[in-house]
Amino acid sequence: MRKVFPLIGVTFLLLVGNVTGFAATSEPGDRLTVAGMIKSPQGKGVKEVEVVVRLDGQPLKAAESEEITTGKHGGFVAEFILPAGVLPDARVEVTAHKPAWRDLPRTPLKVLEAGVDRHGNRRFQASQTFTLYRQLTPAFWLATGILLLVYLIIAAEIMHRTLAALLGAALILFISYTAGTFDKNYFILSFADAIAAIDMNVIFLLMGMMIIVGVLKKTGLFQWLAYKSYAMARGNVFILSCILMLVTAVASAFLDNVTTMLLMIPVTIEIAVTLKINPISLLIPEVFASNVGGTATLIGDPPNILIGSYAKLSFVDFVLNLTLIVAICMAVSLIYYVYWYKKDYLKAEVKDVGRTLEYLRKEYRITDKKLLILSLGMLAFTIFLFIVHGVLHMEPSIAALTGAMVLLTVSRGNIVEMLEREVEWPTLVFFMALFIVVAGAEETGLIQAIAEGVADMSRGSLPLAIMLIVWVSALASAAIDNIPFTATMLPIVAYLNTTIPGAESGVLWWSLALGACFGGNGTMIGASANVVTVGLAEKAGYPISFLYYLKACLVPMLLTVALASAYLLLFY
Amino acid sequence: MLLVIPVTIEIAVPLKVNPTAFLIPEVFAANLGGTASLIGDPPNLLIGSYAKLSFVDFLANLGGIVLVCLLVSAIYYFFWYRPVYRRVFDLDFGRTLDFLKREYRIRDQWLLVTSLIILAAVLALFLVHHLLGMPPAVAALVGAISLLALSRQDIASILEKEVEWPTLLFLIALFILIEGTRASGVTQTVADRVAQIAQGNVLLALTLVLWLAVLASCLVETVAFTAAMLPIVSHLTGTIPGAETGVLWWALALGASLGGNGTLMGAAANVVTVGLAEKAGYRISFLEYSKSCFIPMVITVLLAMAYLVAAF
Repeated sequence: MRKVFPLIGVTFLLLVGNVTGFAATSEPGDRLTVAGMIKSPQGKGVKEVEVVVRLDGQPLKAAESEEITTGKHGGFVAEFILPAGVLPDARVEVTAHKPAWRDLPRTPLKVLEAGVDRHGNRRFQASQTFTLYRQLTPAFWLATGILLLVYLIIAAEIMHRTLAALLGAALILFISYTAGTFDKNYFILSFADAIAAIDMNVIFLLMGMMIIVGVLKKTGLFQWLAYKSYAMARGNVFILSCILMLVTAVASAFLDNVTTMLLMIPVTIEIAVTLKINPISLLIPEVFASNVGGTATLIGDPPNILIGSYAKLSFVDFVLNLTLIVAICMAVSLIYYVYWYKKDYLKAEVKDVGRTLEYLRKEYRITDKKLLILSLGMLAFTIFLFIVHGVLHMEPSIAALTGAMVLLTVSRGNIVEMLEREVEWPTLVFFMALFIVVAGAEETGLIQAIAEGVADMSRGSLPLAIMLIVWVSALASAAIDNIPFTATMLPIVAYLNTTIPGAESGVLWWSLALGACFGGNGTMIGASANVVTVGLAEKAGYPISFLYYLKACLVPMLLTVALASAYLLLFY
Repeated sequence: MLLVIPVTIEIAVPLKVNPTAFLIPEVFAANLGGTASLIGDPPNLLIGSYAKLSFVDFLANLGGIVLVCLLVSAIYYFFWYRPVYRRVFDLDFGRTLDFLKREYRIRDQWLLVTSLIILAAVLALFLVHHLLGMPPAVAALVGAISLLALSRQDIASILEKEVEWPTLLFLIALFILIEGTRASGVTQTVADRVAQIAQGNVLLALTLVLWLAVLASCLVETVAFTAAMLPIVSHLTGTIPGAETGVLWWALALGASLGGNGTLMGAAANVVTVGLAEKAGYRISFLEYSKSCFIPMVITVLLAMAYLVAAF
C-alpha cells in the first residue's frame, strides 16, 4: 500500500496541475496540502470516501475540485489556499463520510511547515492515516435480504436461477437509485461498482473454453474417448466412475476447475448414454472431485491463488501441506459416491460387453481428423498459456479467448453458430447477476461482519482459530462465493498469524484454503464449476434441482471439511 | 422495422404495388425517428452513455430538428413515389381491411397489457432517470427483469434465442479495440489533428464532425465509427472554446444517425429491410437504394447543420 499511495498522489497532482495550475499559483496566501489514507480496521484502503477538511470548524474548499474523495486504494490528496498567516496556529481537522460506514469524527491534523514556494507563499503539509468503521445501515439488511431471497427462489425453484439472480441484481440497483438517491443509508451499490464486480475474466474464460469445446465436439473426439474409457473399464461402471473422478481431480489440480469440467462433461454424457444410465450420477461425483483436486495446488482453485500471492506461499508449499489431506478426502468421497450412486450404477447395461465394444468401435470414430489435430493443437497451446500465465501476467481469459479465436479463424468455423449454440449464455448471465448480488452484500459490510466475528471469537486460542476459520469459510463459500470471502479473510488471517502463539507455521493459511475450497462443494452455486455443470446438464436435457444437488453433496462436503479440520489439528 | 415489414408487405400485395415504395420511406423514417431519443439508435446509446447525457437531453436538443427532417422527407417521398402511389387510389379498401382484421389479432391479451404497462414504467423512468442519477441501463434492466418475472417467460430460451449475442460481442470487442487506440495515444493524435484543422473554431469543428460522421456512416459501420469518435469528440468538447454546450455531441449523433440513411449498409435497419424484402421476392439493389435515399439524406443533414449552427 505504502508504495501505491505516492504514485496516486503524484498522478493526481499532475492532472490537477495541468488544468488549474495557473489559477492556483496566482492567488496569494498560505498553501496547505493535506494527504492521507483511509483504511478499514483490517487495514484495507476504503475507496470513494468523502473527505472534508475543516479550518477552525469551517469546511474548506479545495483549490482544484469541489469534493475530495479517496481513490481506489483509499488515498486522497487535496490542496487549499488559505489567507496568509492563518497557519500554523489554526486548528485543522478532518471528517470523512461514506454510506454504510460510521462517520469519521473530527480528527485533528498535525500541520508541518514545508518552506516557501517560488511565488513567496508559505507551504504547509499534513498527512495521516485514518480508520473508518462499519455501520450496519438499512442498506446492509436490504442487501443481505436480497441475497437470501435469491437463494430462496433458487432453492424453491420458483423461477429459473438466472432469472432469480437477475431479479436480485435489478432490485439492488433499483433501490440504490430510487430510495438511495434520497437517503444515502439505502444506497447499496453504484452502477459503476456493479459493472466492476462482474468478473469478466471468468466470463471470457468460460466463453473461450466453450467455443474450443464446441469445435472439439464436431470432431467426434468425445465419443471416441467415451468408447476408450468404456473399453478400459470393460463395462464396469464402478471402475469407470472411479477413473472419471480421479482423472478430473488430477486435471483440476493443474487446470482451472471450470475448464476441466467443460472438457469432462461431453465425454461423461456420451459414456452415460452408451451405458444407458443417468449422466447426473457421473457428473456430480466429477464436480466434487474437481473442487477437491483443485485444492492441492497453488493454481488449482481461485482462493489458493489469492492466498498464495498474499502470503507469499510457493507452489511447493501448497503441494507439501495439502496433498496428503486432499488425497485422503478424495479417497473418502470416492467411496461415498460409489455407495451413494450404487443403485444407478447397477442399472447400467453391461450385458454383452464384447458386442457393445465392437459396435462402439464402429460408431464412435473420429469424424474429422484435420479439425481434430487443429483443435487439439490449439487446446494444448491454451493449456500451455494457462500454466505459464503467472510468468506472463496473462489473465486465463486472454489465453482461452486467443485459443478460441485462432482456432475459429484457422478452421474457418462459424462464430455465429458457436455463439448461439455452444456458449451457454444462461449460465454466463447467471454469473454476471450473482457477482452483482454478492457485491451488494460485500459493499454494505456482510463479509466484513463475518470476518470480524471470526477474529473476535478466536482471539488467543489456536485450535479454536483453526476450527472457526475452516468451518466459517466452508459455510461461507457454500453460500456466497469463495473469492470475495477469501479476499476479506486474508488480512484477518495475517493478523491472527502474528498474535496467536503457534500460528507461525502458517496453519491458518491452510485452514482458509481447505475451508474455502472444500466448502464450495456444498451447494449448486458454491463454486463456478458446479454452476457450469448444472447449466450444461440442463442444456443436454438433464436438469438438476437445487435440493437434489444439496442432498448429493452436502454430506460429503461436511465429511471432507471434518477430515480437514482433524488433519489440521493433528499435524500443527 | 422487424415488426413493420411483414405488415407492409401484406398491405402492398393486395394493393398490387411494389412494397419497396413503402419500405424505403419507412426505413428512412425509422432511422430519422430513432435519432430523437437516447434509446432510438445505437449511436445515440453510445453517445449518451459515454457523455452522460440523459434521455431528456436528447429529446430536448434533437426532437425539434428530427421532426422538421421527418416532415421534409415525408413531402419528398410523397413526390418521389407519386407515380407508384397514384395507381393504387382506385382500388377497393374494404377487402384489404377485412383481411387485415382477420389476420392481425392480439394473441395474448394479458401479456400485452403487462408488457405495455412495464414499457410505460420504463419510459417514465427514462424521463426522470437523470434526476435520480440512475443510469439508463438500470431502468431498462429493471423493466426487462420484472416483465420476465411477471409473465413467466422462460429466461433460458429468451437469452438463447432473442438476445443478439453476436452483435453484443461485436460491440464488446470493438470497445476493447478502441480503448486500445485510446490508451496508446492514437485517438489523441487524431483529435489534436482535428482540433488543429478546426483552429479552435466551433463552427468548423462542428461541420467536420457532422460530415465525417455522415461519410463514415454511409461507407463503414455507424456503430464502429461512433464508438471510435467518442473519445475524440470528448477531447474536442473540452478544448475548443464554445463547445461546452455539448454541441459536438449533437453533431455526432445527427451525423451518425442521419448518415445511416445514405446507403444500403449505412444502418442495421436498412440491411434487415433489404434482407426481408428479398425473402418476400422483392429485390432492392444497392444503386436503387442509394438513388432513392441519398438526396433526402443530404437534405436532412443540411437541415441538421443549419439547426446546429443557428441554435448553439
